Amino acid sequence: MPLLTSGHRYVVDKLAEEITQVVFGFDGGIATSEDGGAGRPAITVTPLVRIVDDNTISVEAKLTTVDSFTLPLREVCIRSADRALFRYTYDAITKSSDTELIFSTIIEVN
Amino acid sequence: MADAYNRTTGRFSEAQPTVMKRVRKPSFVDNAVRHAAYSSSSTKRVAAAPTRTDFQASSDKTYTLTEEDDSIRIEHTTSAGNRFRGGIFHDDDQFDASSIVPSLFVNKHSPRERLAPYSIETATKGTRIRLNNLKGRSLNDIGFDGKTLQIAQPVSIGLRTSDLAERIVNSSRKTLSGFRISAPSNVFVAKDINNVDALTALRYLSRHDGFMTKSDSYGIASYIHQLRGNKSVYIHQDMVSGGISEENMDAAPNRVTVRGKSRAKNDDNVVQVDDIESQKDGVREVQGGIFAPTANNRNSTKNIGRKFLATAKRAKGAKMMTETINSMQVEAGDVVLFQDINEKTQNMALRVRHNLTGRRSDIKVSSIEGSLEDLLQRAQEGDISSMFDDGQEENQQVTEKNYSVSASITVKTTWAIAIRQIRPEGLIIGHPDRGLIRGDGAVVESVNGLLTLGTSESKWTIKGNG
Repeated sequence: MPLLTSGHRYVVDKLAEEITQVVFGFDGGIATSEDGGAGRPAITVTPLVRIVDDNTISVEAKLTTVDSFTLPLREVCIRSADRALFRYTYDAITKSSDTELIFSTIIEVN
Repeated sequence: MADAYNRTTGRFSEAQPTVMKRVRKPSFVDNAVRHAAYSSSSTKRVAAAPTRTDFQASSDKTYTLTEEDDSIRIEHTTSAGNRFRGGIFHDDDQFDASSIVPSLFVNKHSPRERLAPYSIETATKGTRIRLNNLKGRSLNDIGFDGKTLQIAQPVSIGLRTSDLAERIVNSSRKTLSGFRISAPSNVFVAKDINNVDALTALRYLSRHDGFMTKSDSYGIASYIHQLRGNKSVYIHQDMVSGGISEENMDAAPNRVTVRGKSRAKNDDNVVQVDDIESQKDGVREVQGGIFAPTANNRNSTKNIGRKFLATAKRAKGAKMMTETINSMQVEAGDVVLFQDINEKTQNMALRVRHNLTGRRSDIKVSSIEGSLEDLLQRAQEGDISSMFDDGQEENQQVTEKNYSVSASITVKTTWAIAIRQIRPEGLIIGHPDRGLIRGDGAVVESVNGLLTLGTSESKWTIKGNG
């Protein structure tokens, strides 16, 4: 039974509405679907969420020179107010006061 | 039409001729059952009056019950003007030890509570009826708590098995090209079939009448007798050039426990049947017994057990005829008439393999359709047939249909994380590694990027993506 285009748009709207926070953290453990959120959160920022089309959402989060940490950042978690939705890990990035960091993602609903 | 009322005995039991003497338009008779016994000759089927003594007519008369040890004593219900306390009158006789034992006693106020009598004994007051199988329990223990009884004989109205097979197939005929019946059966089965797949229902019916379900390559299903096949072929032993081998003699079972339908609180209707002729070389019992849910009295249960053992005996000894000539037309399901020196036997071809270039065939035949394992497995499908009663009834005015559909959503994400260096103080022209004047000059290697002359920001470097 195919999901109608309006159904896709509905899911996209709901997801875009729910995404309100992006959390950067220090835990570099492998990301799995069983994760509950960021392992060791460092900072939470408010992302810029845009609906690109009926199937696609763009989420962008930025850390400015104001934010700096002694430990390298290894994870990022996209979440709503009460639950984590996505989590990704990457190689260590040291965030200092002379660097800016941008995290961006495209979410497609098929 | 002859008078149905027998003026000598006072019973409405006169046999009626089967053909009317004058033509008239049919009159609709509501809620009547014509009871006849069917027999078949080589040319036709004949309906005749049933044997009078096979059936006991019963009435609304009630009897009071007094429980005794492993028996009950019944008396006619007394009323104003009737205080008779002698032996019970039933049918056209008074009960004594030689009378035909009634079929069932039923609680007047709760007809589902039934007792199966075993024998009749005389008593000072009323008649004593011995009950079997109480196993030391009281009537209350087995769930019978009535004090007023009626004598009853359960009757079921069913369909001829071949007609019932046709109705079963009709409900799901979109997958079939056709359905055929070679000849009507003589067996009637009264069983509701609720929400069961057609093949299981047909195999269930075939247990009663010795028929079987077959299908052919054209999508036509047939409900035909077990001993009938698609076509007959004749094979002489001289045509079998590669020899005949008999399969390992599967030891056919010679004892079976048949569990029929429980018909009373004290009768589980479980019968053990033995084929004593073949027990000379040991007893072989069917593991778990077989289930016969339409056998609602001991005779039916015994008959099913006997039929099963007889069929099992025929099932052993499948033969393989190797490299048979002039047999390219033989197909599985054909009846093979095999002639050897001693006798001509009729078998069913189970499996055929043709060598087209050599024009030889290997044919496996057996006395019945299928092997002994098939027979056992079919007979032990009791659990499946017992769910006939549990199925949802479809013949009701408000029918519940359950449908389900499904859909799925896939969410795909593509992400990237990038970093760039920002130098808020000063600029070195020429060499990116040298420190800043009045700055600490520390540049972390991992975020080092190319600086463009005139700007304090480096290019973005992708540090992770997925």
